[in-house]
Amino acid sequence: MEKGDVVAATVLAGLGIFIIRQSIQLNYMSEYGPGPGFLPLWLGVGLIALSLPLVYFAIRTPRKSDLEKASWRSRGRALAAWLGFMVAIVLLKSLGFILSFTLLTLFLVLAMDRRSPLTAVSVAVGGALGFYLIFALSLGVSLPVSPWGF
Amino acid sequence: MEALNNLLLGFSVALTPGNLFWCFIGVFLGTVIGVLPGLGPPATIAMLLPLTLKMDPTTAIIMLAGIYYGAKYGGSTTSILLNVPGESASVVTCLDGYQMARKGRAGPALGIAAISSFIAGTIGVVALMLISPPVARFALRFAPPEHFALMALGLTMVVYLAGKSMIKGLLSTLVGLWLATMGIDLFTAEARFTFGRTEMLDGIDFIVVSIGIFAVAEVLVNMESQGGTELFKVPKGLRNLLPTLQDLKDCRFAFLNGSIVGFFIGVLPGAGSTVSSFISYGIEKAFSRHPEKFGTGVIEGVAAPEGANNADTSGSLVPLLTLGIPGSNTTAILLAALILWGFRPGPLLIQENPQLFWGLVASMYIGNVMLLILNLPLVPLFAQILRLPYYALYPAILGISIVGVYTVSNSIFDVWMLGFFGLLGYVMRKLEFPPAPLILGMVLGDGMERALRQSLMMSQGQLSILFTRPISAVLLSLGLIILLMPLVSKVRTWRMKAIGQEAL
Repeated sequence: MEKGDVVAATVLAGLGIFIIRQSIQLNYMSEYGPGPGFLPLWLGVGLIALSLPLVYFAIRTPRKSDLEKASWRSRGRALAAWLGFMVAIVLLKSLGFILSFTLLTLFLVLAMDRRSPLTAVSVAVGGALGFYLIFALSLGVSLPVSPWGF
Repeated sequence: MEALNNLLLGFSVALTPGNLFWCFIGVFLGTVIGVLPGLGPPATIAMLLPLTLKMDPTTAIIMLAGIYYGAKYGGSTTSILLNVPGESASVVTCLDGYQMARKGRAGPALGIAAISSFIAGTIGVVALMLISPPVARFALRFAPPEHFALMALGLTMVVYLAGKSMIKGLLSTLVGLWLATMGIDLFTAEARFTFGRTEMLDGIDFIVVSIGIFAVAEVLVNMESQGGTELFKVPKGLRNLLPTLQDLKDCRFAFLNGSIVGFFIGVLPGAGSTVSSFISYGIEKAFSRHPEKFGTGVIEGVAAPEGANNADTSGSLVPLLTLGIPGSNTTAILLAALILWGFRPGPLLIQENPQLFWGLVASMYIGNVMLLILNLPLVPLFAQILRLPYYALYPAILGISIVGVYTVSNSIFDVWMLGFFGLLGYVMRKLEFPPAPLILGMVLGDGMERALRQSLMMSQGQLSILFTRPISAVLLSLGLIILLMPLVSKVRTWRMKAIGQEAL
């Protein structure tokens, strides 16, 4: 059984139910023809209808080999990188883009890629400076700033 | 004569200093990202799209298209030197290109890839110029039912974008269509799926979704592992990169084969440049006097697929610019870009915006010349990009993604959404859900719903309007055939298996 597909199908079927419930509250037909609930309702039905064969085929698929299961470690690395990215996004409001980006780079280079602190600091500071010079200074793009104005 | 006049208009647009500069930036960036395995044109174009909002749209499309076809040139470098395709379209180049490099002929392999790309790219642009206007003129007869049918036909391209599982492709499309319904309904001004957030009243910006599921997800996938590969040395000096006269003679048919196959497969939405490169390689091998040598380092095995994947770019712009149908990840993003800049991609695009269309066509002639110049003497320089440490590249991509999304509406909420769609894109890849159909659904969803509702208003709710008008009936039938084709081939495979088992 392909567990990932079963979970995906369940989530998508759940999404289908949610969409149907929401679209029922909207008008299916209006005086000008189909209403705002028309398309979403059918999309919800479609999601549920297609999730069923996905579960069927997932159950019939043989389990993956141990070698493929071992990739959980690499998935953990990707998830850690994503969490680092999300923390940087959380910090955007309080620290601004330049500082958040510097911290994100330090995390990715130092903790994820196990480079020396000197390399990590060089890449982080160089990168942040590059962003400031190219986007803020040269292109006039507004970057998220902290309450202190940077 | 009319085409020549239009082309002259195009050159008057493309040859302005500003457009020449951005065309160069586009093809240069394209070559760079083509060289870098793991970062493709869809992610790059999605990342740079927000920065083009303040640009003149013609200049912006010239630059973005430059990235698209420039990446095809750069993609061969890693295929030949590392046996790692820079782009999926360059996979087949590895077969003979890498073997040529192992035999000490990396220079001629890189040289013929650039020359073949130039010849096929130029032939492709000529074909784009000649074929697009009549296709668009035909499509001018379209009313809402035909538009709906056309977009429905566009959605059936999911068959070709779906990858291994059609069900997953269709589910992806439905999610994309649902995302397109979010926000205020244009007909009744009712809010749909906004989750009580004012930021959602305008719906989810396409840029947020595309950067998330392409660029951020790509970084996450690449973060899973560390390490690099040994690079073959690139010969220095133009003379060492130029193929011999005999090489060019051997590639005569490959140039033509790559150009024709590449362009026509590019026109078929969904087929993609990977398919065209494989088919042209197959044809080259089938007609070769020495097919047994293919895979051991024959120069035609590099010229044919490299030509095909470049001519394919022009081919794929035909349905995009004349019908508004994107057939690949990159053209789906280009379609969104055109909509974002306020154009209506479709039959009227050429008529309403001749400067944009003909300016783009002319810029592609110029861009191909720029790419030939860039890729012949400067290949050793581009190969140095491969020495760029990935631990410096990935934070930069994430940073550009944040800046790109924030630029659209100065909203931190959008950056949050970027994080969400980044994770969604990563999970989709891990579970083998293709991301392109989601984008296809999101791009076509809004217009398709509008056309359907307008059609049903015309017919006072009668669905038959979609099937009784000849053009829409033909388009919908075509869509149905495309959707059923994989099913038919599956049934045929089962039957063959059953017959085989009975024979045993």
